[in-house]
Amino acid sequence: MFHVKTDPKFQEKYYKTTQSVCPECLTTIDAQIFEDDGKVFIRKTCEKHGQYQDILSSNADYYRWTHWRGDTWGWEKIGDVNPPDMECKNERGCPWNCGLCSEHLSTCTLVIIEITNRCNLSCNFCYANVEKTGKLIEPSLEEIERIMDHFRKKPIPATSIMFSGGEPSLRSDLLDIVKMAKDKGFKEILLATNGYAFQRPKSAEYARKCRENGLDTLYLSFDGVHDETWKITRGIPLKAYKERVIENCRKGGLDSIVLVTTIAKTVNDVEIGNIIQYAIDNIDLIRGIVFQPISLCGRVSHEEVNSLRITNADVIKVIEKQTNGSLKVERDWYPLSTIVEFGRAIAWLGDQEPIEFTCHPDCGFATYLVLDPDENKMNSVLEYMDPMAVIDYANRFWQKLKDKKSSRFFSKLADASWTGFAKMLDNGLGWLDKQQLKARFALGLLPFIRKPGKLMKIFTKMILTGNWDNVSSFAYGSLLIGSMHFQDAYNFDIQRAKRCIVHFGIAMPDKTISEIPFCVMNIFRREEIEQQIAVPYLKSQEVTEIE
Amino acid sequence: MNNTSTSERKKNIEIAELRQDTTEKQTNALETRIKYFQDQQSNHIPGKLLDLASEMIIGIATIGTALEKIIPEKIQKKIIELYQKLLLAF
Repeated sequence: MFHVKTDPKFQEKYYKTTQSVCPECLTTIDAQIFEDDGKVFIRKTCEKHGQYQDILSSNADYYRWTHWRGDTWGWEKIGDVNPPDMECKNERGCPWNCGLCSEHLSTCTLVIIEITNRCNLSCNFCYANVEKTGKLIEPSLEEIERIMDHFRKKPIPATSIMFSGGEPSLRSDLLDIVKMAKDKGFKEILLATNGYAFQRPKSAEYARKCRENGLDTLYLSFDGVHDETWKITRGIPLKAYKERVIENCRKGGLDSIVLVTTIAKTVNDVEIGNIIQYAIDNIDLIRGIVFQPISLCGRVSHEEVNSLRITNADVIKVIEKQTNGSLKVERDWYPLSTIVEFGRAIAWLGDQEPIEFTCHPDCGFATYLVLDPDENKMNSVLEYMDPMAVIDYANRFWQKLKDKKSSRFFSKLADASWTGFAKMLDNGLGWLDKQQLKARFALGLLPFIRKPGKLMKIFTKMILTGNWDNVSSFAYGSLLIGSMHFQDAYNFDIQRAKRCIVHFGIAMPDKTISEIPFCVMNIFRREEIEQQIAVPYLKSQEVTEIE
Repeated sequence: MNNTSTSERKKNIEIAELRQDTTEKQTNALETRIKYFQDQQSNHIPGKLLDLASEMIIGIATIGTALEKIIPEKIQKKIIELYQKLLLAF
């Protein structure tokens, strides 16, 4: 992986200045990111509250690699952006009053709408629970529709949407909400859930209805495979509950589940290998696992931060250990931004809207375990191709492709009497041109395929068509494993916030829509926004039954 | 989240070894899915062409990986450079 180890720039110790906030008063202050003793830290000093230091990565080599920039490209991508929704008027500057302004550097890939803050569980760390706040937040269908329109009508529309909560499956109109999202053109619709509506008797039918209405993926919270873990993380044993969810989805044909695991040091990091094995055992349904090192929002002491803090680098190290080296730190893990140009080229060739992962390299890493139909074995996808060579070729291909204009050969020759026909001929030329470009792209990857076989045949089909069905067929039997570290006030780096691709959509009382990056919402804006949109919570609204 | 010591947790939790092999259920699931996409595609000409094209590409890749063992690395590098130049000439 560290293909740049011989590059003199790679040998230099990492140092960068940025802006962060004081964890106590949230004032914006200067910060330094620096390397010490093989680790990377962020340090900042607040005039009122003193100095704070927090770890960003326990593996300085890996960190330097993910921030390396060569002559032609690096991991930090320049995102395409939509026109700003507003100008930043707050005198405290970014990220205060974020909504989005012209300082934001990436477009939104995943929209999050919190459709309720009611929940059937009462986890002690949750910031959204209605029982604690006494205030209900539940946007109406009309408000949800306006949020969807806000994201879909932008020049670069968002492609994916996630409904979260609270527990979103408590809403009796969830099926209507999902259908609305599909009708609005979202390609991927996800539900961030603890599984409430999917674990009850007869829930297989509910899962089937969700699927029919357009729900693509259940983003299922999953802290471990033992009840001992659940008792610590959620206060009650939930192993059987989660197994019922999986079984009902299997029966109902809802065959895409991503396990979402919040990881805290000494709490459930010992479960990481078990969770991967559990996903492999249920590979007909489980498409991915997203480990989320705990983000310590709210009032958390420095001591608590130190005892629970775990970084992305720690997670991938634990994965290597607990999978007996099946997934290796130095071979298998890449920042999410790695595939930006690859994705753009595939989307351009397949006439699809691109999914832009132009987030900051610190936001997350990912890899793929794939089920090889020739060997009947799960292998790392990196065993099948030389990733750096593939990425390099895709980048160079995209640089040429992005400036390509569609053919107007016949239109230029045509007079007014046959412009329509000329346009049709030009479309035909354009189609032929696209086919030869697809072939060039696929053929260009040939020298870097290490293990030709059935799996690579599916991969080639995906490249040749670029369509959603073939992407799905490649993803089927594959396990995407990611580690995404959301920020908190201790490790906050403003550069990450400006590149965020996961945005909350909130319908405000003045009928406007606020679009706010995920970490900015949780650290800075949640309290103030919720005061504006919440209504008093009546006990009668507690857990409504679902049809 | 409550905090407990790692050693205490490890007593309770057996760290599974990743088996990596796949059960019959999983293999069947993958095969069903591949068949589903193949059935969809073989119903019309573009699907068959796509099948043929991907088959050809993988065929070439198989020959390529066999040749890699014979051709010296330096020459391989030069051939790939030229090959890419050709493909990127548009």
